[in-house]
Amino acid sequence: MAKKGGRRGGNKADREFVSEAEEILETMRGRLADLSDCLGAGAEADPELVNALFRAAHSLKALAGLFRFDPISGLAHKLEDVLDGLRLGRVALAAPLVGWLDETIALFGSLLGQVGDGAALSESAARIEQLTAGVAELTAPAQPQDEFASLDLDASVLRALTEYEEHRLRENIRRGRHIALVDAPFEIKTFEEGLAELSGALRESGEVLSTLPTPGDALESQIRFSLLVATDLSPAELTARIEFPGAAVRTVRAGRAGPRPPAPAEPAAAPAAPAMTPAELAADAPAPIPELESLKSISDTVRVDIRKLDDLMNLVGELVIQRGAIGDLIARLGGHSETAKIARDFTKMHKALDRKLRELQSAVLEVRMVPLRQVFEKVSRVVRRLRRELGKQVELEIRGADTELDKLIVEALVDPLMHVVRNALDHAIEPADERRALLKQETGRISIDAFQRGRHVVIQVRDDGRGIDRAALRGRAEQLGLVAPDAALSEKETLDLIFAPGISTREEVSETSGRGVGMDIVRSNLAALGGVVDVESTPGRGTAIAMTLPITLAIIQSLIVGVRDRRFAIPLNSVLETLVIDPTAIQVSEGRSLLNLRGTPLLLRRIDEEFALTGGARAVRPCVIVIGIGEQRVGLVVDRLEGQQDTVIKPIQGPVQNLRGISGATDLGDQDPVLVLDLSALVEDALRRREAA
Amino acid sequence: MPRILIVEDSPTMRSLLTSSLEELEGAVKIVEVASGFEALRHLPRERFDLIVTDINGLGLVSFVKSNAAYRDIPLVIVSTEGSERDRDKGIGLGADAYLVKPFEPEALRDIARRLLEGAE
Repeated sequence: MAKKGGRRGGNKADREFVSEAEEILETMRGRLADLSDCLGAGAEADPELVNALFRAAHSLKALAGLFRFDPISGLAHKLEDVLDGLRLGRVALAAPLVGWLDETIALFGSLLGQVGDGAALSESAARIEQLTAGVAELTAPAQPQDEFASLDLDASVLRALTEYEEHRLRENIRRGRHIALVDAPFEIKTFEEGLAELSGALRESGEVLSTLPTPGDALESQIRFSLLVATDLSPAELTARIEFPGAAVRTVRAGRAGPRPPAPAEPAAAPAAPAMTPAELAADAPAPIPELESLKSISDTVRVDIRKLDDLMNLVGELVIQRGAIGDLIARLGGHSETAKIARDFTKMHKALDRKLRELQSAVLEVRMVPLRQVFEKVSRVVRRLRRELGKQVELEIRGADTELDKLIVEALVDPLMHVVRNALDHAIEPADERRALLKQETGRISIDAFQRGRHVVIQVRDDGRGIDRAALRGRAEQLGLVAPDAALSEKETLDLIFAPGISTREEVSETSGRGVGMDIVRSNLAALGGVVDVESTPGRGTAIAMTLPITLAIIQSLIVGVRDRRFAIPLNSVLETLVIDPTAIQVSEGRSLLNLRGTPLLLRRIDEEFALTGGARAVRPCVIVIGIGEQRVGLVVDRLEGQQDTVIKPIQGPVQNLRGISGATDLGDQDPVLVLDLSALVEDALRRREAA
Repeated sequence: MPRILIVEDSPTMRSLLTSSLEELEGAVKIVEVASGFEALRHLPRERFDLIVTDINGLGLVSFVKSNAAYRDIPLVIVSTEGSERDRDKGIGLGADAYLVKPFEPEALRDIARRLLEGAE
């Protein structure tokens, strides 16, 4: 912790710091949300939540100190102070203080974003100062009271209570609980098991405030413990409940008689910070106790920089390509009678290699997969906060949080998803009185469902709000000149206007939904990941936004196609079917090429026209590859199907770098790079062109 | 050889305490435990010449200092900046010295030298 000379090194140290600090922040955000829920529900602050926040702030301070990020460590120190005051009852928990905590944690988030950028970090100093100055009035000390005079407790016990333990004692006295001292002897060799048992039994009936070892006249082989307990049970009831041989229960202070005060549920895990408490016991006891197990699970996990996994994935990709090249060689060997036997042996080996490579590939992919849970937790915290701020009654349902996606995709998904959910909360769900007037349930519902569909994951956000106002949408689009006033748009085409840049159907720009960021950004963000977004909406009933994303970006199966004298790779996960057609089956109307696919018109795009290819000749009987992304269907016309192959898509440098419709290049093992088609862009363009037509 | 018992729940801080004390002149034997309860298990088993403990609870301090068998073992409290009140209570219970984290290793060694000498 006091590692000298640990001056902030290169980027690697920064990244390590940020990644660890992010984890701590994540914990803090969660605990704070729970805490403000407690407060919102009018309940007492769960002491364990405050403790957990305090510990997190402490870790953050120590971590930032270790890496010498003084502004961060300074702010964390302040936060720790405030939380310590809260924890010890010096400061009362009230909404403004929760607001301050919220702001401070948010500021940490932006400070972490500035790590490595010294100038930006020091610019934030003013903000830090402002925050730390503002907290003083929020943390005016609570009235100190000495209620211990009424306790029938030996001074030696009172002397040995920590400040926190005193605070818990005071708190329980205030609530009118009985305070009892439970005294029991233990064999010194095995006292931890016995003590864990006793503490466990006591915790079921109340709160263990302190556990003190006491010397005395006990035998040398024994040790006595005094446990100070706050409970709603009378001493007689408590004695009966704990059933512990040799335990003596003595009342230190009688609680209020009559109905028991509505004490909040005892924290599941006892406070761990002040040791000599049950939590410490738990850590020492041999029995499997949740806290112990959670520690173990941490040690089984390794944190890895995602870039290392990218490197690993690239290596696997190269191997996959090499394997392809070996396959070609074998085919050539098999073609000659004198080498045919060798080729057969080779084939066997090649197959075994192939199998192992596939296993390796999926193992590496597996490592990159993370459940959506974290993102969803983030979303639900934001919903809880907004619900409070907007004063709306909304229930959030989340299903499919275990659905897994590539880490990079999950990260890039946060913003678009958040945007869609905010929109639903802010614009779609009507205020309670309006809902009542509409005979809707007063509490609005937003649901998020995630599920896998083939090689894609679909995340669907539904609300039961007012639905999209088509007339307003259309009006706004006409105003912006996106649609001609006389253009006939289908239902779907009208709804798709919400993805047009600059459209916002509600006049005012609200804080919640952000300024000027619209669904067009959501669409382009998702398109960058190879995903699409679809919308469905029923006026008065609600809206459903479905985001479809590929499971991974790393290695994909591609269909290799020939177009004139060129080859292209088409990601197979979006290919629905391939057909060989007669050119006369293509109908051209209003400048659009259509194919009648089992009764439904399929919009076609000719790849050679798309990229202005003129070399070589078109095939007599072209092939149509039916692409499906989300709910959209488009047929790509190519000349030949050359086969299927694993491909690692690499970004292209140079002149075609930004060519729309191309997402990268891949090497098929024959030294001839092949361009990979960006299907999201192609499909989008095709549909846009249709709308414009 | 002086025997030192280190009670500290943070592994980092524990190893820092140990490495600081290992540099004392002459050999010392160090026993590390993570909690006061573990310390209680060690106390009857072997004789210690110094106890260095964190201040997560005062139980250990009060136990050692009110027990005829252990009362004479010098005890150092290692506390954080914010826990002055608990530290003062610890001194009130009979702790012999205290040290505030983060500390200079030499400061810890000074205290240890002084207390170990006095014990002999």
